[in-house]
Amino acid sequence: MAPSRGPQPLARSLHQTLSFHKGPVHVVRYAKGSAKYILSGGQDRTVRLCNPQLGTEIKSYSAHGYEVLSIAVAHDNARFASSGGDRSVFIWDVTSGSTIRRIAGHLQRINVVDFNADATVVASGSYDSTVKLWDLRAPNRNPIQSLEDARDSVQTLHVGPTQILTGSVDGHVRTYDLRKGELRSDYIGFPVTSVVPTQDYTTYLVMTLDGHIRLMDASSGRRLNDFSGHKHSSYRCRTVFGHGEATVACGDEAGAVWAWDILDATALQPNPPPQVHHKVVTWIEHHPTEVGELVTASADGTVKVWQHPEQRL
Amino acid sequence: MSGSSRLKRKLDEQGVNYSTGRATENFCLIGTPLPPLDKSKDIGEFVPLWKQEVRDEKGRRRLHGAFTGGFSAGYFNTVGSKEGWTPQTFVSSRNDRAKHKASRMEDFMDDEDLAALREEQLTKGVQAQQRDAFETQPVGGTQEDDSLARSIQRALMPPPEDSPGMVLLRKMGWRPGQGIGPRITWRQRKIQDILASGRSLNDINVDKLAEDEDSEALKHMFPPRDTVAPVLPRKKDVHGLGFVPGDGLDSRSRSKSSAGPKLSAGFGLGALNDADEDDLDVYDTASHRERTYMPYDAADRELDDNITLPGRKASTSQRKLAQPVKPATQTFKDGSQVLAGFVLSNVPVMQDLRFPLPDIPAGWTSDPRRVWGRGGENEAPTASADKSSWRNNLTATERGSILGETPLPRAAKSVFEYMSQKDRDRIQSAATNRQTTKETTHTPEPSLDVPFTPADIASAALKGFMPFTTDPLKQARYVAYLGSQAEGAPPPAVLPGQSVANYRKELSDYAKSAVVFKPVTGAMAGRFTSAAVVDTGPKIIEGLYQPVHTSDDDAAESRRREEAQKRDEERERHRRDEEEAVEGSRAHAVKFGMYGALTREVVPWQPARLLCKRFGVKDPNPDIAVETPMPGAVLGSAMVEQGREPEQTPKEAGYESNAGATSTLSENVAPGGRSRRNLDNVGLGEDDDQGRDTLTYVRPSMDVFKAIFASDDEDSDKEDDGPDARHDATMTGPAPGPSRPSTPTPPHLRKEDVEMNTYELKEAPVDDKPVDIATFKPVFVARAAKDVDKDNSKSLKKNKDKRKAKAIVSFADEEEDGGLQIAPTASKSRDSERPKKRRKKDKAKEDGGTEEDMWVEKPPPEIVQTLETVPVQRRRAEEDAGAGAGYQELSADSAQVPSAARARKKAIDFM
Repeated sequence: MAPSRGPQPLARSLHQTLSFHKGPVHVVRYAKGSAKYILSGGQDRTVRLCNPQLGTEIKSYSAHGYEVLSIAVAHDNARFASSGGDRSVFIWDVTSGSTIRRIAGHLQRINVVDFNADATVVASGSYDSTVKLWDLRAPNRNPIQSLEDARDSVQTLHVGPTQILTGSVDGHVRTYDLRKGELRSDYIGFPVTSVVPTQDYTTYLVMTLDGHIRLMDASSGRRLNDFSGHKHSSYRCRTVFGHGEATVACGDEAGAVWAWDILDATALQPNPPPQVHHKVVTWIEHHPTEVGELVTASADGTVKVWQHPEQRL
Repeated sequence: MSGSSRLKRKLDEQGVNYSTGRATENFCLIGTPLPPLDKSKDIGEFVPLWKQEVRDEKGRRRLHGAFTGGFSAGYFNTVGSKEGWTPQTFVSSRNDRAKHKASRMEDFMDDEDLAALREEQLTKGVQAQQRDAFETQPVGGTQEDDSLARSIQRALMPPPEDSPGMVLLRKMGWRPGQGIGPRITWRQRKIQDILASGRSLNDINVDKLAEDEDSEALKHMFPPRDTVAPVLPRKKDVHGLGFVPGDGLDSRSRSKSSAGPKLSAGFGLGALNDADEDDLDVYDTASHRERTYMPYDAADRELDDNITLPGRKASTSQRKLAQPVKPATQTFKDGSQVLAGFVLSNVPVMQDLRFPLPDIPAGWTSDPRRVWGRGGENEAPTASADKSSWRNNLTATERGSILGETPLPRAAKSVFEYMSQKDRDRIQSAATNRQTTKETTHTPEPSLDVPFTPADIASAALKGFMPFTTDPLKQARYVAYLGSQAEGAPPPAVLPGQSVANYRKELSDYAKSAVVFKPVTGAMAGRFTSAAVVDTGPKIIEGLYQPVHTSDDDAAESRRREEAQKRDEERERHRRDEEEAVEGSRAHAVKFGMYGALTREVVPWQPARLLCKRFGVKDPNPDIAVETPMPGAVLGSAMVEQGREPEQTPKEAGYESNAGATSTLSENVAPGGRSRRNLDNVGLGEDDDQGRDTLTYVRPSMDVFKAIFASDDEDSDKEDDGPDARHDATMTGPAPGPSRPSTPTPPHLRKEDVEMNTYELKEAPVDDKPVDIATFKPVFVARAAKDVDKDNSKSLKKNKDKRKAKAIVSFADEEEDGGLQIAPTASKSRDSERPKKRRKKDKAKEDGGTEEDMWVEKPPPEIVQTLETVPVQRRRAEEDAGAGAGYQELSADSAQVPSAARARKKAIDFM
């Protein structure tokens, strides 16, 4: 596509609708590598492994006693971690479908988990306003480190190669830089529901409950761009970069999927976007490699796979 | 080890030929002598229990271990057939009825059992023997009927062989049919008869009987009546074992077992086993049975003793007596029938131990005052009682004082007795003063007794949880109470309008809560942290809110108050705004979208070591500046992506561009390039750096040692770093960073390039100068010293030692000691003082042990170099001659010279 025609539009045509969950779907994640499969976790206390191309369910993982709020897939796709209301991180073996480890230690529900690059550490952010880093190599009961800087519930977390980004309801995005040994906390001012860095970790997207998505400069903390228009005031929604980090996409509480040009912050057509879910879009994730593939999870109990029409041929 | 074999070995050691007659001569007078020594085996020697074996008379082993089957059966060990004992197959008795032969006990007995049977028969009483001999069936129901055939048979049959006992008895004048024992008078015999017939002696006058008898009989002595072994009755009823009909519970309990418990028969107890509790016969009733006496044991015995009567008839009669025959149909008092087989007991089961009330005399009325008034009277008898026992109650001192003795000198009772009178007076006065002051403080509540709390608990509770934070007044009083208990401060005063009981209750509540809320002590205390108490909610005012009516004056007053309040509020708001301005400047910035420096806060943060390790990131704040990079390719890939070298400290690396990193890297690598080839490099092969790290050896930081030798889980994790890392490298693809040299240059090399040159200079004279053979001394380093590496002690001396031990060729001492040194000559002189043997040994070790140990070549010190070879040798020879072993020492010296030469050769090889 010629660069003059602007960024690639968001995949808008519905490819599959996966309605295996029996309640709100809180999270849907692509597998690593070529990302042929998706894992979704919902209020029905299960994690389901599906094939987004065929729309079939492959496996259901049920050991959680409460809702599943977050999933993280290990780099080798052999394991994944999930967390939720039962205040412990579950490490699963993908093939056997059993939990390898259950890491208890948080005092409240765990909103988010993430692996590091080689899945030796899992980080968990909890409602108890702490982020705990767990060693997966050694069977240690205690976390490697507990990051207790957040003053409120930790809603989102991203573990980079040398830094850990956390977003909290207290309106801060905290970047723990391991290499520099410093903590940079950026005050956004509104409860943060999603923090997504770019691949080079120079900028990151922050989605806050004031209905704005801000593109922040990681090094200085300056705001580079502000995306708004969507409805976001009370639920945890997520924002992602589109393909090639040229666009910003998010699902809002009205059930629509928004997209903006990252440079001029104009909403891509159609504007306003149509409602594609009946309820709030809880999670959105762009395919890591495919140009126009996108999955959205919603509180209406469905996971929808979106593709460009030409890809379906 | 047996005694004889020990003796044999001892004799062997001493070279005594014990097969000769002298050695085996026997002087044993008492006991069993040891078997002759030339015999191979000592049969009689003690064998421990677990080695003992049980064998039968044919030498077969009869008892095997539990794992080999216990009692073994089968062809080789027991009854005849190969298959072991086989029961007889069924043979129909229809046709050959005549051939039918009843199997006897003996048919199933083996030799041992038969022998035992025979022995048993021998030991049986005479009558039993006779009976056994005469009767074909010793046991059986036919024994009881006294048929004519039996008596004829008994008469006709020849007398049986006498047992040895019988023979003896015969020789002593005993005849069959008589009892055993001395002869007795007619009267005694008569008494025996009466007793035997079951009658009591009370109602029979024996002397009258004697009168009836002819006087001739009284003149003779008679043999006693024959003793009949008690024949136990067969059990024919349906009662339980050991049950005696008509016995009550109390009579059963009286019986006591006299002898030891009987062991149950059958398997389970071997010859080597001891009786266990489990082996006791559960159904052993004999021990509970009342002891029986024979009427003939002694003529005069207590009459109430139980007597077993001779003869069958007598015993049956006795049984009949014991079991009174009752009418078949008995009825209880209420008319219901007694169950068949049961009889009503004559004795009630429980006897009432009630006593009838005493008869109250007529006209008696209770008058307790009589008893009360007797209080004074009661004193007197106790006093008299004391008087009666005064002898026992008095102590020695009391008695002495009564007697007017001077008291014995004894240990002083208290410290005060050692004090001078002045001191005592002073203490006394101080104590009284304190007493008075205390009393003055306590005077406001003289009747109040403050509940006691131990001082330690009170002081601990003061530090611990405060339970009354919501009520400041109560809190203050609680603290005051604890303070009073802990430090002796005055307790909280009584509140106005508080009753004493309430006050006491309040204080006791405080005491209780102090015990409850005192923090856990000791080891437990460190495990808990008490949460911050946020229990400062609004205080609830009880009752209804009643608005107060205000008059005009009051209104003005209230207005003024309102104004003041408003002013206060204003001030408060202002202050809050200021605070907000200070604290929430970020919020303002956010409000205006001024994200950046205003909204950013950077604080130092120390990631955990393990976290850094897991992320493959260097610890940003290491304790020691010099640190080798973590091995691990996650680091490689991640770092290279970022364009940073892990070796660089974060300050200098920062967020540099790729180009900068590569340039620094190339600079670092460049000096290591092999451009120069001079004499110093000869022998180092292709690698210029070989041996250089030993030259410029800097002890790596503790982290390196920890990374290598850490004992915890980190260590095991290191192993799987490899594959993961490789995986990562493939995942991330070709790294954009600079290509790194295959052998990474150690960081200290780069740092100390300048120093290295100086080392080379130092090294040069050692190589060039011809080495003086005599003075060139190799230093002996034991291999064991190499193992010290793991010790991480930081003392300098130890480090030196380690360095010596670590490198095979070490010049470490050059830097440390500031010059060339070899093993000092002092050690040599010490050598000469050592005992010769030791020295010899050392020499042998030095000569022979070169393969095992290592030679560390060291350049000789200047002092040694200046000395001539010969004088040294001569001097040492003189010294050694003084010691009286010149020859040996000289030879040792001469041996040392070639060894030094060899060492020299080796050192040249190293070059």
